[in-house]
Amino acid sequence: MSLCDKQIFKSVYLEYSEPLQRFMQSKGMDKDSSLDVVQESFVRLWNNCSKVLKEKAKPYLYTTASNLFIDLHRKTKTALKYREQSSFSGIEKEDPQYKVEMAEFKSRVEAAIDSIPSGAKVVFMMSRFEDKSYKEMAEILNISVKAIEKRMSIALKHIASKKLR
Amino acid sequence: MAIDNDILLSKWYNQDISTEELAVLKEMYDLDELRTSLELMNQYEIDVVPADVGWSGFEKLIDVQKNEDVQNINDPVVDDNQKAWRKSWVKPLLWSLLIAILGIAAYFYFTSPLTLIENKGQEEYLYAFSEGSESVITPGSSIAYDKEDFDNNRVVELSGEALFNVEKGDSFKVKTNAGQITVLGTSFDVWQISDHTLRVECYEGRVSVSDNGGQEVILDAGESVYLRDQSFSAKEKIKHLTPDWKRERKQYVGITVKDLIADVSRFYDYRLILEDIDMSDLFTGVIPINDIDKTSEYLATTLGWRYEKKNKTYIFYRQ
Repeated sequence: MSLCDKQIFKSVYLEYSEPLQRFMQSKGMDKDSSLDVVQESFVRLWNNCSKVLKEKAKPYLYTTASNLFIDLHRKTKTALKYREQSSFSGIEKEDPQYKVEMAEFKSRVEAAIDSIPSGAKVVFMMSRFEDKSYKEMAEILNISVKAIEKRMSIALKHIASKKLR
Repeated sequence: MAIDNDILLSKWYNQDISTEELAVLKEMYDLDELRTSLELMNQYEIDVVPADVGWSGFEKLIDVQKNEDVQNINDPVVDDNQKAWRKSWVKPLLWSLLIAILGIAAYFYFTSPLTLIENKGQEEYLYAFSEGSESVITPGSSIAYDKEDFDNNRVVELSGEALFNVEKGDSFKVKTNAGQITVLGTSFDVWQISDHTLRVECYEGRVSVSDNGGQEVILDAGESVYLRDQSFSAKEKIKHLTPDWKRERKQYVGITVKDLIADVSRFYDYRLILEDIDMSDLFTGVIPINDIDKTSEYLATTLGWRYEKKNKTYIFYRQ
């Protein structure tokens, strides 16, 4: 199955576009810059479609995106959004007081995540927001599972030191 | 089996913790509070552009690229007289270039270029090696090492300052222009203040610090040493278990003002310049490094200078 077949390429795009954007944001890029890097990574994959096997597309994309990040080295704040399926039962979402409190809470969560040192932050966000296992993260980041465990502990220590409620 | 406190939180998070380890962790953290904080985070997700929207944008990008390729094909054709003239020198030139390229490629293949990790940002950067060791690289500093051969030969070249947490195993060496450090598995900070001044602090285990002539000093946990111009200071005891920069301060002892300004500059995205100040004057003291204005104010007050700020440059003068 060749990546030069547009339908196959599209399936790869749909599978990895969003996780790759989250990966770039966890490194510290904003939403727009993350999309730029992701699109450029896919363009490079498309231009090399005859040389990259479909099963190698994922590591190719993550490596390309990481290298582009190093080149650009832009760092901005974490941006989260409310999950649509999330809710607090019994609370009126349109209540102005509720909206203010939730906005403040969101800021505290974003600030708590931004306080985590960069390497640990990537691991925390991949685990928390993408449900990646330690083994999966080790493969993507090309480091040992032990290194992942250490970084996760660093991240959790920082979260533990913040009062989010 | 000994409990590794460094990864207890991660084991708890991964639901892979023993009863004994959990008891230790409960003494250290309020796990209910942490669990609640993490559950509250579940309300959120990272804001990304949906894949189907991104795909439309991507298709436009590759269509634009295809149109540019077609445009190149449609460029004017060169006439035959010009082609003949080019042929006489193009071939030899292309052969020369090919030989040069192959030569350069062979050079890099056989000399195995190093992987360079530079921290160009304003915050510390945590870098993990494949065998489990880690380095926390301070702003403006960099490390370089042979990634392909690292499992067999753990050698890292350092410019600036970094904290190292080394996995036990064969020797791990950190090389700087001022000297080198060899360890077997420990935690230590290496600070190359200038090309001829090095400071090493050992927090765990044992390290060997050597100058370029082979002279050596061994540091145990809780000890530090300076190596200046290939000459060691007396060892000093340290009470802290983390480097100064983690506590947003830097302590300097008998360092020239020139080296002081060069080292402090690494932490900021500003230029620091000395005008009409004797660069060989010596400084001893503790400087705050979390705020460029605080740092400048402190330097000016302590050293009897004045300074002014112009755009992204701080200029220091004698009073």
